[in-house]
Amino acid sequence: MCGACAMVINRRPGLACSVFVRDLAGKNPGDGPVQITLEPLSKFPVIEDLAVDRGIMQEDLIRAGDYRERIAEPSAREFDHQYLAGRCLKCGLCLEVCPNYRSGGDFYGAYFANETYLVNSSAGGGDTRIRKEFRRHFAAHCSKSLSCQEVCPMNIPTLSSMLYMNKNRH
Amino acid sequence: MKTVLIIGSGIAGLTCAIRSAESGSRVILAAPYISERAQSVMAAGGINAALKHVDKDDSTALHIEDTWRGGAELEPMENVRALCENAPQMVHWLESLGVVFSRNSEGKIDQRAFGGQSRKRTCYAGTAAGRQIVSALVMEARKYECSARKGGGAGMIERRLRIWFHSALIRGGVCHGAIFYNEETQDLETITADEVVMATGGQNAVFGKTTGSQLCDGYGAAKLFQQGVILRNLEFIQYHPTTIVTAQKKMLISEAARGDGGRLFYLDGGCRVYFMEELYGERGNLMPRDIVSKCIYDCPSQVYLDISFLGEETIDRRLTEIRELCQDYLGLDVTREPIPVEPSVHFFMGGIAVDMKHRTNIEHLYAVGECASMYHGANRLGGNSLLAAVYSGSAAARAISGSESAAHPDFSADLAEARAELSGREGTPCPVPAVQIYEEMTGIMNSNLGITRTENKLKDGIERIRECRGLCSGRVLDESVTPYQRYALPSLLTLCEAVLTAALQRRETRGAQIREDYPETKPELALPTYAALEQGTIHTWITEKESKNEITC
Ligand SMILES: Cc1cc2nc3c(=O)[nH]c(=O)nc-3n(C[C@H](O)[C@H](O)[C@H](O)COP(=O)(O)OP(=O)(O)OC[C@H]3O[C@@H](n4cnc5c(N)ncnc54)[C@H](O)[C@@H]3O)c2cc1C
Ligand code: SF4
Repeated sequence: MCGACAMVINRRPGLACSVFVRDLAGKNPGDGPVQITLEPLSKFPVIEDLAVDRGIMQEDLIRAGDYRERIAEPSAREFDHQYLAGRCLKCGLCLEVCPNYRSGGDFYGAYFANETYLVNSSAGGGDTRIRKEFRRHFAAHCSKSLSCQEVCPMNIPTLSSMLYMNKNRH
Repeated sequence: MKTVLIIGSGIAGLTCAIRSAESGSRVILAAPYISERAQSVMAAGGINAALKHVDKDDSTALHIEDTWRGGAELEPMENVRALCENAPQMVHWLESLGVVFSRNSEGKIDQRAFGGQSRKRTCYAGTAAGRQIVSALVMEARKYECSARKGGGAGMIERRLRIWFHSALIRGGVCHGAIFYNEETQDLETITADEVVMATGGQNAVFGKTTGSQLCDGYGAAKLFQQGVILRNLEFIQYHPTTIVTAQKKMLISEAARGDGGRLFYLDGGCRVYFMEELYGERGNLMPRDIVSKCIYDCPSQVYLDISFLGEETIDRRLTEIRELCQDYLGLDVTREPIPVEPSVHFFMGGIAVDMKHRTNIEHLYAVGECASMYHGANRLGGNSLLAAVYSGSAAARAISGSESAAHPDFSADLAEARAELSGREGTPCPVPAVQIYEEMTGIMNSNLGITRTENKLKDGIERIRECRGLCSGRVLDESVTPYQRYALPSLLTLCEAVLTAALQRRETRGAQIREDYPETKPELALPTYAALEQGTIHTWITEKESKNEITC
């Protein structure tokens, strides 16, 4: 999976490569042909057909300076969570379903919470610079609908990232 | 400040970019998509280094020995030595950047068994090593992207997205940059640089569906070949023994499944035949890939891989992605049922010929990662190509930091010529839709250059590829494919012919080159094959060095 084929399929955002016609078809043999509607993700500028420009996700990460400055000893407790967060595809599905996200705004969305978690947890939790960015571009805007976590094809626990980042550390 | 243009942003390109920025260069990292879409994220099993965290008696000497023997004794020993001796340093560097490696009970990086290796040597991150490495490298590269935004200083990276390599700017045997097709402007543009590094990955798209990414089509190597760059070992194409095939994709079931105990079998009258164990004993399932693929190919019926007996807890902890993949694409629960598997094209040992500093035969032009041919000989061991991607990226960056830069000539006439060709205003239309020629090409490569090869099939393949090229060369292709695919196709066909020619010329069986008509391995041919294009004719020769004077087949 690479996340390139994120789109809206029968009104539900998903990765086209892992949505199957058999699951969209009617359950009973006599249900007849199904109509499948494909649309581009609505939160990003359309390049052509179903292709959208998700460059804003990279832009926002650069703007917030999302990189590691310090690496602490790896923590066994954080391993599973870091492993899951490290799987992010930058597919943008979490932004598509978010009621608060608007491309180009101050709120960067769920993947951003996970990316800041990766930076902060690698530093053992004490990276005040990145925690400030998290508060500014995530915590201040999120109304916790958590639809982002449900839609994520990589099962990244965004709620846990938020909890980690919100904890008062150091 | 030296400008380094890196084409391709997978693990090799990213590593070279970070290392070059660290040493103070201005890096332009060019690729059509972000690094998270590069094939590198698909790497599952892990990366090799003799860290001795699990098997205390492992050593660099054993890593060298396994790599050289696994590669069917073809790769010059000094190349293998350079890779393996630097492996621990490469893995520690990745660890220092925050790569989330799986850990053993002592908190050290855990290591698993992998095919063709005498010790547990593969450092892993669940079954998503590539993704975890890319995630950390992207973050590290971002540090230098941020410094570029702040107006530079020592070392910076500027990313260029949505641009595709078109050709290199070469004058008098020196490279000065490259021409790209820009999707946004739908036009060609030049980027000049003091050093150019190709990091464009393997040649999957010439085979159609493979385990890898279609973004890797081999065009980089193909075009450079037409521009005078020497290629190497093209005939060695790895078939991975265990893949699942669906209507849309061929997907890898990582060797990690067998490393952790998975067993291959076929059914004979309802009885399971564990053929690899019968043929090669206890470690049979973990023989090198060339051997396992050929054995599966020879089986009388469908082959299955069983991991169900490992138990749900182990599978979920160590083989997470394999469970997800089989569930999503086959509706199969690997904790209860065996997985039907078959071999598929997976990796290219061949590519651009480079020296130990990853320089090509053109000055200031380098090649790193899977697009370069180095280290793996006639068959790559699992876990060695992520290592090669990181190591080659570092080696090229080190060489670049020392080399002198050249003044750039004017390339505006080259750009104008390329533009005229691309616009397709002049010339005769191709009588066949381009998409049909693509299909024909992938069909020929699969059927005539399969796991086993014969002179007849290879000659037939060359003839049919030439016919395809005859149809489209110098003609204007239709819009059934993208503008990039339109200009790439004739070059890809030339690459296909070079691959078939190299396979035809090597009259022996060695590693991934299995000749039905020449089943023996010939000690005098334990040398790389080189290929060059001169006045439209492909020449291949087998020799120790790139110089063509030694042995010609
Ligand atoms: C399914 C799978 C699993 C694997 N598992 C392992 C493993 O466990 N261990 C291991 O060691 N190896 C593994 N490999 C092999 C390994 O992943 C690759 O060899 C390695 O990642 C190659 O890295 P790279 O940087 O050279 O190329 P890639 O990651 O393929 O990157 C190529 C880059 O070039 C760009 N590009 C391509 N064409 C153009 C063009 N025309 N213009 C501009 N840019 C272009 C692409 O967009 C991309 O950015 C696996 C491979 C596959 C397919
Ligand atoms: S967090 Fe999940 S949904 Fe959001 S971009 Fe990453 S992978 Fe996609």
